[in-house]
Amino acid sequence: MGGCEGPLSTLDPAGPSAEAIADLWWVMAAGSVVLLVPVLGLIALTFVRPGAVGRIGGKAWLVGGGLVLPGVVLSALIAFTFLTGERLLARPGEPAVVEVRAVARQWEWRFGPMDGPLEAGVLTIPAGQPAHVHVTSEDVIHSFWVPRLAGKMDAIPGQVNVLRILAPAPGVYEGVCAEFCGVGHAHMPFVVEAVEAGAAGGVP
Amino acid sequence: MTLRSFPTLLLAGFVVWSSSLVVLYALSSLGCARGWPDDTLAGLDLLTAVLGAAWVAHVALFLPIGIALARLRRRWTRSEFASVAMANALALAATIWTGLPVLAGLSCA
Amino acid sequence: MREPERPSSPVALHKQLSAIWGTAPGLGRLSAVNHTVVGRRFIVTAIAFFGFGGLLAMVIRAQLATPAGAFLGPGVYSQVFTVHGTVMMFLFAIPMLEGWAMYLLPKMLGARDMAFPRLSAYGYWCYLFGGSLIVLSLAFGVAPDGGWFMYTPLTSQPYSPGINADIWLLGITFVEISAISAAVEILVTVLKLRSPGMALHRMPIFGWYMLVTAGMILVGFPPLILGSILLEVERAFGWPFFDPERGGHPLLWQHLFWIFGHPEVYIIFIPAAGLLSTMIPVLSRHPLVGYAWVVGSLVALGFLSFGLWVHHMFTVGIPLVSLGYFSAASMLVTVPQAVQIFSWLSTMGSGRPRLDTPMLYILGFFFVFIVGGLTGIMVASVPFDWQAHDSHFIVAHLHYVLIGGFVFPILAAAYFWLPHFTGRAAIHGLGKTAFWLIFLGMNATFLGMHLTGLRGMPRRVYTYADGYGWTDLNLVSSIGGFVMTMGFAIVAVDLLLQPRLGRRIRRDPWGAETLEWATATPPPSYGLASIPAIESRAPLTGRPDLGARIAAGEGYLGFTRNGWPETIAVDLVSGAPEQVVILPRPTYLPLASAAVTGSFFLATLFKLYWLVPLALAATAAILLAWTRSTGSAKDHGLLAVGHGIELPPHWESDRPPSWYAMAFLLAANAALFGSLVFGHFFLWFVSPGAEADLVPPAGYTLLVLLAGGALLASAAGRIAVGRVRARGRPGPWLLLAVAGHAAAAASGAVLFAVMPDPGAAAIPAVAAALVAYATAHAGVGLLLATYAVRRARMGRVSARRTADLMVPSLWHDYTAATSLFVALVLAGSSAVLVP
Repeated sequence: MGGCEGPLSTLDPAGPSAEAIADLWWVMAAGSVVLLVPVLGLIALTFVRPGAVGRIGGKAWLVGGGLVLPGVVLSALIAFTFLTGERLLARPGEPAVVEVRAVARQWEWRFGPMDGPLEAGVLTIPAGQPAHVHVTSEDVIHSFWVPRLAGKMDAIPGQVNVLRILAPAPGVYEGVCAEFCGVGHAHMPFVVEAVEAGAAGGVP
Repeated sequence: MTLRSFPTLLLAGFVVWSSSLVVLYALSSLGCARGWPDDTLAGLDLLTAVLGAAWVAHVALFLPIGIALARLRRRWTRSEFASVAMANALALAATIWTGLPVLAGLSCA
Repeated sequence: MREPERPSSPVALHKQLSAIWGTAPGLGRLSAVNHTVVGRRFIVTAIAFFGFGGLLAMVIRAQLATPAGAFLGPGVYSQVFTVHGTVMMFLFAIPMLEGWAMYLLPKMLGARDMAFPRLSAYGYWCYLFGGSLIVLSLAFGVAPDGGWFMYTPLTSQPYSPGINADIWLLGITFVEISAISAAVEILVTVLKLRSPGMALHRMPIFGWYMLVTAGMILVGFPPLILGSILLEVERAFGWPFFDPERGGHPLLWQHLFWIFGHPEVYIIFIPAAGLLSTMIPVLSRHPLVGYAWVVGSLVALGFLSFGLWVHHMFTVGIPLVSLGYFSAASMLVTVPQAVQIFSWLSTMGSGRPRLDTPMLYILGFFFVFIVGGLTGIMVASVPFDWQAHDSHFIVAHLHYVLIGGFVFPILAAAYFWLPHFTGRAAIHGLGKTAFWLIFLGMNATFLGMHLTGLRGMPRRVYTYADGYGWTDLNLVSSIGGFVMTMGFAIVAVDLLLQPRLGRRIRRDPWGAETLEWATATPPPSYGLASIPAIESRAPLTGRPDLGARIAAGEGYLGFTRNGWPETIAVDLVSGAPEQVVILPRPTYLPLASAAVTGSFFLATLFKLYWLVPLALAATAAILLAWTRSTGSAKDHGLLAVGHGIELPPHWESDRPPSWYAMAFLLAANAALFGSLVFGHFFLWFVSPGAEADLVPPAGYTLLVLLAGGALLASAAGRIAVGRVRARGRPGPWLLLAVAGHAAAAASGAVLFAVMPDPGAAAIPAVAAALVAYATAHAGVGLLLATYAVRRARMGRVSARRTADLMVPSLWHDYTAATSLFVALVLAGSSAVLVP
């Protein structure tokens, strides 16, 4: 899709999570236009043809536009939301998962295996295999965000949150800190490097 | 407290809804932290059973509200009755709607 | 009592009323308490803060116009965006709506002033002083810099050691005094100070909107006030409520902030919607379609908006099932909004809408607000929010909601009611040009910004690199921002010129429905020269002579008596006349009180802790001084109000307005207490292995004394009221109430001293906060009980005049209930809940 690509673009997804959410966005965006245009048309009509809108009856508009319309739209949306949400979760005990940790501090990200040393700036994962990123912080709140792979997860001191990411193809995916964390907030970039499983320097 | 005065009945339904949200949220936090999904009760996992019971109990509270409304219908002007009925109907819908995550069996992760 | 002699002519009545209600010129203006004057001040001051916040927005857009912008460094940029958000939310939007409510409500409801005019003035000065503190801090380069939602631990002492965060916490709390006092006033005014015959369902729809808003402020602001107090105590004394290393939790702040922060958005929108519901029927020449449905939807909106707070926290690692409730509620809130929008649409469709300047802004509202609402539904969807959260998508969304939902309606209202403020018509052309600049500039700034966010630009970055697809979008946003600013500048010019150059207008130029247009324009200090009986929702419709008849004194109270500023209070549902409320005259006390209150905040800010108790004592003393002129030393019996009706003065009624005010204040207080109890259980829940012995062995006796003393005071206070009603002597019972509170306060203080060190861990800290809360309430109870004794000795109390005993008695009851709860929670937490 034109105008959507970019190294940090959520609309240029490179993994199933980001893809599901991008699909959700396109559905909602189209739905919004479908809702917005007729309402604006009705408003215009009240000026162009005074009384025409009112002929249908005041209560009918309240029931139809106020209750039925949102009822139908929201029921569909909430079902879609719950299904997508469930699909993207990191579930404990998922088979063939790589467990890694991401530790934030002012103002850098460090990554590594669960009980191994941490390395700054680069998170290496095997391509084609889901990874659970255990995100936490050593000082203030930060947020781990690799838009082309998945949604964000906050790094909160005293708490470990788990985010599931999956990059089907090898490559380098950019990430940023999404939660304001002080004067260095704009300068906390990192990358997720997805490598062929078993490649040199790969993950355990 | 009796369900008779106009201000009380105007707010009654949404007080029930507020309680349902707080109770469901608190029980979910507690249950997810204590591993309730792994236990069972009456054929369901413990978390779903407890949340479901709390949800049904709140929905049931709309019965006395409905009865009070039906009784007072004559005593109020149409406009007064319409606003109270509207508020409580929305509250009932909201109480059912807010419990949908329980019905959908969303996870603790 | 016989009716006083009526003045000979409308002019004579006007002169008599003006002498009573008017504000002195010159320095005397500082003593103003009148709702028209104070309302106007709120509006003008809010416009000034809006201008300042707008300039900061321009600074932000200048910095972001190009990649690697070299205009600002990250430190200054943080201050600028924090103050921009803070000013717009706390110093522009909320005070603006308070100003409109104060100016319009009494006139619409048929009252001559708000229920507590001195409280209006006190709120205004608190707002002005607190707001100035925040603006000045930017000039000195020490402005808050943690973002407008001030997340801990970034704003905790180790990461923000300077005074910056303290300025936010204390300045905003100071300003919030005005929000709470406005809420209490609005509630009592709408519920009690209406025209005879104005049943709740004959009330102008704006009254309902303000009723719901005020109720929301009452419950919504206290959690933030509590959060600010806890964070300030953590910063100043090291009590670790939010410090994860000592058992606290950063998410406690987020919960407290957003329980306030989400309703806040609706608190801003609902009054604006109320203005729309008032204007649209008039401009469409058709009554509002579905009045009762709108009322029902408003109640729904008021409650539902409290059930959304966690949708600001979808990425903090809360279980999906819990997020589900808030996702569902966030979508559901669309329903009452849709009812509202279709009610307006249907009203326009049933009438013949005219495309005047106000209508142009209303159309702008429809487009911008609906777009903001649609993106709002999007971010209510949990997975989408995981991507959109904290990106520029959210920045775009919130500006669509707030500019659409507040700025456009307020501009429409400005052009609609300006003739009422000034008695002159707007200068046509200027307002329309301004509209197109604001509308096109607004959309140019923020429409593309959705895409900027989806392309991954986080919010609150002071710089960005080229090559991410953000460069062109940001440049367009910046240009749009400057176009929008030009539009606002033209509005400002229009507002300045119109009072001088505008054409004079006749009364009620729009053919409106509501009573505010029955006053002369610009309105006299007393508003309505007499108070009309109300038989319909649109009292002006079909009665073009109503204004003249009111001015001629044909309604109730079309005369003056004893130099009293009088208005009528009614039964809160039926609108049957109930009492004559005698309001206070202009006084410098509100200004002096706000200054003394300010000394408390400044002493805390500059860590002059020796001064704090003095400032608190002075504040209590000066607030008690307000009561010197209230009440009466003798029974007056029934007073004639005209048309053969006689009513008691408010001090001789069963439930005077002050009783309602205390009840509502305690409701706000209960919301604060509830937040503290929530904090206790939250911290207990997240810190397993917390220490067990919160209460030392000797402490149990003290807990019993604390609760017992308060219960004693409560019982004694109630008995005293009963005794005096039965014409008995309340003296001994009043003294017993004093003794009860004294015992409770003393044992609370001792308990506080012997409890485990609150600096050691979060659970002892929150336990100490609970004890401090109960002790402080016993302390205030002691003050109020002593006040009751004094008033009884002064002869201000009789079998009919019981307010001076009833109002403190309410406080005693509340203190007893909360103290008992504190004792049970602490004892229970220590004994039972040990993990």
